[in-house]
Amino acid sequence: MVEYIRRFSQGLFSYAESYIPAGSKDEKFLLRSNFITLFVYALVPIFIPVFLWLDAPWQALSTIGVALTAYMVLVLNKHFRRAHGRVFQLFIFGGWLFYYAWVFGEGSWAHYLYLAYAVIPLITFPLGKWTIYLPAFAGYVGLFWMVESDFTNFPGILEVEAQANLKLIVINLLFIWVFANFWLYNRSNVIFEEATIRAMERLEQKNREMEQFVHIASHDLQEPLKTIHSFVELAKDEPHKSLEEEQMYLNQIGEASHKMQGLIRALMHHSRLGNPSKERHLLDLNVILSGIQKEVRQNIGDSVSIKVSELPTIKANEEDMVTLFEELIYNAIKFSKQDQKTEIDIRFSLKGRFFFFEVEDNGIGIDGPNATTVFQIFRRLHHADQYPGLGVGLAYARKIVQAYEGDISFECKKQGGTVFYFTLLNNS
Amino acid sequence: MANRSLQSILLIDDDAMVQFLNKKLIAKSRYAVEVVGVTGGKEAMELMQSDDHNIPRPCLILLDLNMPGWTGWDFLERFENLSQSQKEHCTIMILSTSENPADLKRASRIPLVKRYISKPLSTGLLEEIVQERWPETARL
Repeated sequence: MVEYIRRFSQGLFSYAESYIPAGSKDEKFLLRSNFITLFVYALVPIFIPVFLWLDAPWQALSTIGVALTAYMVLVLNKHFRRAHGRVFQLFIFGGWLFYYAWVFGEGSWAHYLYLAYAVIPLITFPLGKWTIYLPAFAGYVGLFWMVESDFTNFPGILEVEAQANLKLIVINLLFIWVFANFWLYNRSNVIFEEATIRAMERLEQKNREMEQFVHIASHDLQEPLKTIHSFVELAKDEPHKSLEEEQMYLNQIGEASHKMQGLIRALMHHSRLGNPSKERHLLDLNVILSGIQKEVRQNIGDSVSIKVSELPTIKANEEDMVTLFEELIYNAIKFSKQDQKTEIDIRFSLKGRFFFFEVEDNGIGIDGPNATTVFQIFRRLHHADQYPGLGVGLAYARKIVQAYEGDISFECKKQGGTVFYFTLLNNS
Repeated sequence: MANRSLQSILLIDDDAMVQFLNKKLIAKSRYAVEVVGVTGGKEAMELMQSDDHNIPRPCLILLDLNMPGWTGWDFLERFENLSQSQKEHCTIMILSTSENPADLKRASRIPLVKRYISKPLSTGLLEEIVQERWPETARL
């Protein structure tokens, strides 16, 4: 019991000091809803004696009862939906309304139901978050019963004694208070736990990626350096070499240092991409894509056709968005089949809170045992003489996508070609 | 019984410069070995499986890990599936720039890999390896 009370009070406060980042819209929402909760709590002990004293205004009170409940649900709405999904949110909300319609319509049944209403969560609450649905079930039972009786017991239709109703309303308000408390606690707890787990997973993933990144980057940076070193050693060791050989060594050293410069530049560029401190504002992706299309036409000509569906407006950094689409498009162009026109199809749809994009091409596809490493920096699937490059394009794309809380993947089509899928959080 | 002398070396590395350097280094050591270089695991596997008798069976494979297409790991995986006659008298050593502990650990778990060498290969190291495993290797 003590533990219950402890968790009970804790729940309310952890709800306020939530995981949601400071200064965000969600934080403001939480602070506001917490204020409303406190307001409701303050109301209950004031209003109960007032209405008991007034003796008659049960109609007004019943309206307040329903309104408060509805308000509670609405306040918790957003977070409830996040934890349980929209369908269940409507289910619960509807259940509450029907339930109130039922108990205000008919007094005698309600006493037992009030009891059940308060007791069910007390018993089942520690068993898990899904028990929150049980009271809603009671509401639907009530709805069924109302329909059965041709709505003769619907609120306002049946004349009921004022005194009996007043008592009911008092009990009702008390239970709103108790249950809201439980609900708040349960919600905050579930949301908090889920968010913590998600954040931990994200962090771990980020750490692993970071470690991997450092290894890969340092490995690839060392390679040209070691080549330079070896050629210098070779030059020192062989005092009697021909001019030709000497020239060749110098060329190799020059090439390796040039490559190193390229790698460092790419790394620097990579680190800048998706940086949240860079300015983000509303961008029409249609405008960005038409800019890229124009550029492709100028640089490559008519051998590439890019089809773009209607794209959304997103709050993002312009350089990020340009780089993201450019890299994917130039990747498709680079790995196209030689004997045919390159066709790129960019499609967009909405998926929940995310923008979902598909970039489809008719190129050579992505093949081989290490196809999944294409998003790693400096990782190439082809030899440099076949397809030159540093192996950074798709790594850039992934970095940007992840900075907008999205994900990127690809699929090879049976008839050849690749489809890249990526999401970006709809933050506008 | 394994050969006491080193006959041939297969270099697997996608970087032409590294290949060139290693060939130069092996030549400098004046061991009488044939050196064949390929730029990827796939090409190496084709070579291992070919019946062409002009291509010497490698005694020593120096394998790079980080390569486009097939990585060194992919090559090792498939190498294990080769027939006994194809892989006999064949010693594999990894020659990589990677100092990633995960790579080292992974390599140590593969019995086929006899040694993990950090690039670059040096004459001293080559000398040491040859003296240890193939002491009867002829010199030019």
